[in-house]
Amino acid sequence: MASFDTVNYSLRTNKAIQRLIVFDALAELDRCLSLRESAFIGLGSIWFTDFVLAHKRLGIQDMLSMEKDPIGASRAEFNKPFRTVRVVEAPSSEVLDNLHEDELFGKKPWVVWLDYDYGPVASVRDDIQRVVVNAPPNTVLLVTVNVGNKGVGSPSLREETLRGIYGNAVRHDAGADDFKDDRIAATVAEILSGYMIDQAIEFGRPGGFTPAFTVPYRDSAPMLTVGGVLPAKGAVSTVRACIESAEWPGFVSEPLEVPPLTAKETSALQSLLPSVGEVTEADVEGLGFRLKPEMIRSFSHQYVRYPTFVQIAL
Amino acid sequence: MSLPPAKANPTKAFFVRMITRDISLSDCILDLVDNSVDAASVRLGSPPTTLDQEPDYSPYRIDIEFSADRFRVRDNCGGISLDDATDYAFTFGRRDDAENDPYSIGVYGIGMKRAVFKLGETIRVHSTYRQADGALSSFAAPINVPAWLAKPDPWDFDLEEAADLGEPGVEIVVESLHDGVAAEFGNPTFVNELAGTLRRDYARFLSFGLTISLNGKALQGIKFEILAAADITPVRTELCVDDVKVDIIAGMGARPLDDNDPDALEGIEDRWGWYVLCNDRVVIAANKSEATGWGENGVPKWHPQYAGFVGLILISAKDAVNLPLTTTKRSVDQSSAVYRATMGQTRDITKTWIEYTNQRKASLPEAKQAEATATPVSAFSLAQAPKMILPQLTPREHRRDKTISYRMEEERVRALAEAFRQPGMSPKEVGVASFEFAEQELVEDE
Repeated sequence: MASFDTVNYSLRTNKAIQRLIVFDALAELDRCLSLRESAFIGLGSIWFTDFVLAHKRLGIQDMLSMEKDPIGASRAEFNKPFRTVRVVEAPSSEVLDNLHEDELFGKKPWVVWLDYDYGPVASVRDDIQRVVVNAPPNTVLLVTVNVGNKGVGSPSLREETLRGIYGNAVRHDAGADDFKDDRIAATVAEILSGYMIDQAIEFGRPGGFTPAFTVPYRDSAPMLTVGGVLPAKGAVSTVRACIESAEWPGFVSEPLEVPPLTAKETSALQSLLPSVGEVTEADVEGLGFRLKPEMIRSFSHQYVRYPTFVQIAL
Repeated sequence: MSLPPAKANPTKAFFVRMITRDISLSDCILDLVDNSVDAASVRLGSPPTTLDQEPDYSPYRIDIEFSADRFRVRDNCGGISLDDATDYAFTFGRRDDAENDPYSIGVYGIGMKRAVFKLGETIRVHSTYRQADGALSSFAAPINVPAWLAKPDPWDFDLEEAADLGEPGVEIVVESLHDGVAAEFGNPTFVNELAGTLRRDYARFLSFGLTISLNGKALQGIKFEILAAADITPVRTELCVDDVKVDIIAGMGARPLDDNDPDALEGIEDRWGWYVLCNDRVVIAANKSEATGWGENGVPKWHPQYAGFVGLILISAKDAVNLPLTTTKRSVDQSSAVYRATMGQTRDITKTWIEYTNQRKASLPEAKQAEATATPVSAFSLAQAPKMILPQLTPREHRRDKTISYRMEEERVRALAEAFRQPGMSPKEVGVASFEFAEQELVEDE
């Protein structure tokens, strides 16, 4: 069963925050790469949340959604939010093998977001390679994978599995601790970034690959978004300057783990922010309820992106 | 009438731009490490590189550091003396009057120059050495490659006085890295690959206490181990050709795979095959080609069925000129007499292993039972044994296998792998697990 049959992606709190972080970063990048001239490529499912943001925030016109399931493709075609979204009924492997030859999409940079709901399996590696090999200069590549048990297996199997798939992209001195639950997101981020850098060199991209995104977050499962830019050679220094600035939002060290909060709780917490010091458990207890320290920390860092969901009757 | 001679002088550009193409970036760095190891060996009195020797390299270290901007290797292995620098160390190719240090790895006198030219354009070789009176002395050779190329003959490099490094040793710094080099030095995958190569190729020296660090992390040498049991004995034999001694060690590095499909090897560390070590440095690793006899002279070509085999050929020569080394130290001169004689010995060993894996297919449970008691022992501490002994299996009729092959949508294969709680399973593994699951559920026990 496809995940969009069970999950409305637009309603997941941490997914929504992660998405806003990515688009905040893309908006920063837009200043040096003019992303509005790019095409947005994604796995749109039937919700197209990323596509709406790509169009409204970045001004991207031409978009393409890959959907291999015939019924999914039919629903995607029905639900696509703009005339300029093309839905292609084909697996990502097939689309990414050929897209660079497309009259429209082959001539402009891509912002390609491969938002999988499964782990960094061999087909993910192969899709990354397809993008690195085929994407036009100044393409932004984002990959989201599941880094929980369902995505990378149980901790004792993870090292062998990931070394088998990604080879030397796995750190030579990585040990059992690096594959445990509390470190696996950072380890997979390092592996995927390393693989992207390596493939850009391997296939002779003149501008290489510049890592720009590491956003771990937790919804029903621990997830991770990793990515960066495949700049034209002449754009490398500009892109690096943008990403190395102190304001760059694309690198998040601690997993986003903001709890779903009621409107009343959200409003009360916001009344403490912005704060010079850390908001403490005692501060929150003073408001009349309790939260775990990591939840308070996560909310404090991301409250400006915290989504508010309301139910409306149509 | 006598004609003028045809000019045959080499050019600087040939050495800088052409010979650097024949070697990989990793192997260039290994050339620099070889120089440091050779210097440490001299400090230890140039011990023979034979299996009965265990020299103490623990006082010595080689630190390699690099980033996209800069490369640096620094050792405390004794340094280059000023006399050696002026007369030998910087010549392109070993001079006729220069003798190799006993049991060295370096042969041709080209490694350091080729390495630094491969890396970049601003080079500084800095040496501190102890003089006869015990005092430290230092010098440096700063090399600006474009300026050196533009300068007409001679080919000499200028030397200058320099501060002491603190202890005798050499430091080589290269900046203005070439684009491709800078890209690789910023590539974490390259770092991991180089670390693996250093751990393997200097495993003997690391086991003797030498420290090699890469970007601040000390590396652990890999262990060459072979399984042994009552009825499983690795072979260890030797031969001498002129002044060159060869030890041959081979056996079961691990139990062979139960599955002979090439896909079964995907994702498994590939460490099977023959290794060749010249004066203790690995030059050929996990080789499965004609270079080590596979597919030649009646030996079948490599097949995944033969996985599990490890063979080591340790060639030791007092004068490194007699080693069958190529200049890149990543291959051997197969026409050399010593290597030909060695291949004559290894052929039967390889065939013995192949025969065992053939028998094993037909008697798998018996073989697995026999192999179960085997435990790993260091390949370098084995006693002499003229033959490789493997379990004697009862001849049986070959098990009649059938191949089941079918295509399935990738998404469904992945979902089933997840259902088996092993999302990293290959499609083949999913197929086998599916069969076994169905068999368990549907086929009654006999």
